Amino acid sequence: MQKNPWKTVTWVVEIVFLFLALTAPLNPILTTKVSVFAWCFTMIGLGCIGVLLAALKGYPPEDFSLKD
Amino acid sequence: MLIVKERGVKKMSILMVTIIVLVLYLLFMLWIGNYAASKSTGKTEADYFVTSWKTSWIGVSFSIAATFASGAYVLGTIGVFYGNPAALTGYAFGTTFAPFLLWILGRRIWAIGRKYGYSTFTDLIGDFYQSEKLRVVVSILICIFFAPYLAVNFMAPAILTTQVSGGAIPFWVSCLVFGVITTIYTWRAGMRGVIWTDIAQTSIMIVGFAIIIPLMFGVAGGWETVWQKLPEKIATYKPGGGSFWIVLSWFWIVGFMQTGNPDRAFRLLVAKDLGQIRKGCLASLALLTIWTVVGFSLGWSLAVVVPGVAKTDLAFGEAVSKFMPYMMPVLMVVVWAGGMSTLDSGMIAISAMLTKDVYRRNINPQATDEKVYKVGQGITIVLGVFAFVLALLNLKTLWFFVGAGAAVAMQWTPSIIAALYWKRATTAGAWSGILSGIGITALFYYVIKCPIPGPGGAAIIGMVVNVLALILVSSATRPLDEKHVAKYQGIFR
Repeated sequence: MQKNPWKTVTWVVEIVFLFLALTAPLNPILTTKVSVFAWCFTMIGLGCIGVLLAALKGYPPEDFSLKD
Repeated sequence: MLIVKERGVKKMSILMVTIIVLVLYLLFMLWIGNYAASKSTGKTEADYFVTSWKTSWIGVSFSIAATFASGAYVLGTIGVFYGNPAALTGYAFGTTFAPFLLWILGRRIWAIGRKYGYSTFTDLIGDFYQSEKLRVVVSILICIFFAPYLAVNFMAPAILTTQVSGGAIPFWVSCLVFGVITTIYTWRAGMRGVIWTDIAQTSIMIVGFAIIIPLMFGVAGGWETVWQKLPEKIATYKPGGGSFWIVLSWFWIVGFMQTGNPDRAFRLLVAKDLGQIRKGCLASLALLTIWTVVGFSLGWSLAVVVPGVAKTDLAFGEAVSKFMPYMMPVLMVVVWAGGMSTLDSGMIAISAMLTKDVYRRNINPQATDEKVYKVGQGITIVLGVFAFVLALLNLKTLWFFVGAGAAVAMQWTPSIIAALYWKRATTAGAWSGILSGIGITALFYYVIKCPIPGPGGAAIIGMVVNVLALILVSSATRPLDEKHVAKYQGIFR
């Protein structure tokens, strides 16, 4: 069976999202309320891309069926 | 004198309108529950606990969203958004991560559940790890730690009702009305009633917030004023990475709660097909993001409208009663909808575990489907009474119970992931992982002060110990039979 390359893309995006989001309090550029929430909403956007990739490209239901 | 009298009359009429709107809302919920019961396809366990696997993506997503937005969310969590919005960026990251996990795990959980007729996660744990004792012990432990969470849902609406009525409606009366209505429709219609009322409750909450938020910004002087006056102190991270653990803590509890808490995670088992699960996860992403945006919007505006409220749970109610009392009926219905949608989900989930794992498997294995259905209904009523009595104790702040229930409940997640993906997982590994995870989490929640702050601190430590124990003990013990493992992990193309 051919490996779906979107799986790798999905996990890369998700890991980047988790890393950038969870290290936000350690990020030296996030020192004002504008920067904190601009970053927060950008991360939400990135996380949404990760979910969309997982559901639509990386792990679509069409690639997933039970053996009889 | 005349002004004081006029104010009193105005207050009375707002209270009357609030009560009338609330009664209409409650009648509407009973009607939906009754209608859902009339759509039952038979008195079977599968129909009562998993809607005979006929739920669409709307039911899956709205139900997950409604269960997440409890009464404690509307008052307690929004209170935290008000007190420290910077820390709640972790909450936002959690709501974005949760649908990812829901889909990655949910597709396998649904497929296995559909193949073997599961209605709880303990069905999977007990069958995969081939241990009846593990199934029962996990069910009972999760039920014990999760039960106080049921009571929280009584508390938020009752606290607000007492606050608004100036004590005229006692706490216990609100709890009683709330509990009776929720128990009636859950008892009558089971999971179908829970999901249908959840759809209505999510819609009511979204509309309610859509009305209240712009008005709250108006009271605060508009968006620009809110942003200017929002104190940097609460809206920025502490210097030197001081906010790292609190952000991680919020992320953890919110991110893992959706697949860990039985009240919402069991929605992964009820869908019609995988396409509905996928759409449900995507719609959950949208709905959970709405709750995040609602939290920030209200948190920011409340911080300007009513700064310095020490008991943050009361900030939202105080702002509405002070500056827009005419909105009290809307707030009241939103809080009751939030509370009911989480209570009903918790009752049906715990009822499913006790009925299937304890009663059917261990007390009366010969029970007919109709008998199990009736026992499930009976347990639902007992749970409603139990939560009502517990709510009357009115203990501690709201978030403690939400956090404690979620932190402990999520400790079955590593063993579930291992059952879905790891061939080397063993029964002893699952025992040691789950017991150590629950033990450590409970220790840091109830006995010792947790070194990691926030609602997810104990869960983080518990989960790390849990995973280590699962891996180490599984690696050191005899693997499960390959053919048996293949029945779960090898059924996919």
